[in-house]
Amino acid sequence: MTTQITYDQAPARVPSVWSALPGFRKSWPGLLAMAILALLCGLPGLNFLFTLDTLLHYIDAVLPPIYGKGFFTDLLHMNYVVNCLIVGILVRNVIGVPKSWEPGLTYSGIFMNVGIIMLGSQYLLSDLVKLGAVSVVIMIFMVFGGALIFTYMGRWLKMGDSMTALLAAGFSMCGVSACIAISPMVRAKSEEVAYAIAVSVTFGFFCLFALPFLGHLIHMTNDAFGLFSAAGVPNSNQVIATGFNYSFEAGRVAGFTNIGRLVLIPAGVLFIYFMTLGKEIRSSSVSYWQIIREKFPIFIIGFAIVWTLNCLKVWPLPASEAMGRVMEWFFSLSFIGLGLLTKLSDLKKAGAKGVVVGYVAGSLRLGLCLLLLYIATKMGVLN
Amino acid sequence: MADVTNKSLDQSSEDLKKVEAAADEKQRRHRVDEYIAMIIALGAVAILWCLQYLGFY
Repeated sequence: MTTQITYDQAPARVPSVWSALPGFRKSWPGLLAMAILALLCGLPGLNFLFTLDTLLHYIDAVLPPIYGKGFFTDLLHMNYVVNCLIVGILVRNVIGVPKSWEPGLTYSGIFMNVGIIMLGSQYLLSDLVKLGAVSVVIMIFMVFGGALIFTYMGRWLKMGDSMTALLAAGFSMCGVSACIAISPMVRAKSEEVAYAIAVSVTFGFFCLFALPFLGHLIHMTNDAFGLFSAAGVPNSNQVIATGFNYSFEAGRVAGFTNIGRLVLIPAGVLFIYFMTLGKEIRSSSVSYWQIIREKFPIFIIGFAIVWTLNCLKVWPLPASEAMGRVMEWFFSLSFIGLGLLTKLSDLKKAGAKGVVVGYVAGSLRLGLCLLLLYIATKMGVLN
Repeated sequence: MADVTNKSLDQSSEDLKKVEAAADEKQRRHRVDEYIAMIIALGAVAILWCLQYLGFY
């Protein structure tokens, strides 16, 4: 007896991971736009004449100083990070972005990951000794403590389990990615996902400009500020931008300590899942191993390879410096992309209740983070 | 009444499927972004390392 296999019986083909990436033909306009805008803003180390950075330095040199400082470079701290972000945001929200740019702009996440991997060339074993323990402790407190703050606040305001879980994931871990990752597990509605993403992105946008000012105001050290931005800002891209907005050293520390938070994503997702959902939903079949496997950020292996090679002094210092420069170019591209993807209309989408819960709980997290950093500094484990 | 309840259940299960599909798509994109980033970054590090030995800086 022979069995006939019909098309209905054949197992559905699982799409390849590579099919998720838009091809070069679709992406080149957006990629070219990012490269041109980044060049016009002024890439670190490339001294072109007609860039925004050169223009701002020229204006500062021509205008009389304010309290002995240049207005743009010293008082407003306009550096390549702020220039790229502001130009990107202005182009998106004032001029508008053509549809043909959109696929290419999604590559900004790749450039950010490239920058983070290359950040490994700027660290030595002494950095891990200096920052490793304190950053791990602070990250654990912030991921799990932050999730608790959101959970209790959500329950107190009767916000609903799925919305609470989405906001807790978005703010305690990796913003947009964490919101989307947890959405099917908590059976969130599509409008709830959009709402939570809007709240976390707009809060991160606010942090991007407000935290460096706060840091300068209270004279935070580079190490403390790097940790502060990694622990307090929701989205990874915004973490790196906030750190580099303060100083190169703070950006370096932010990138390094943010890796601790990325590693904690699978554990954090499961923690929020258990904290926010009722017994009846929790009893549904969720494979914990699958969650850990799917949510673990693989690109960290790349960072570990580059960092290990740098610790072993496989390449000499000039090569390490060149890698640092190229890393900044990749970050510039991703900051331009981040700006071009920031829609100010999302602020409206966030709505009143989401803004209240997200911003109040997000600010509480920032306060908790400052307290932890203060304790760490007093204990002498942080500069 | 029963029709209305069934219709709303259908709608919510449709929406759940949409959310699951979006999460799957995002997860796949996230992974491919990580692979591409590793290829570009490790390639760039290897090129800069070689350029140093060729005496470019």
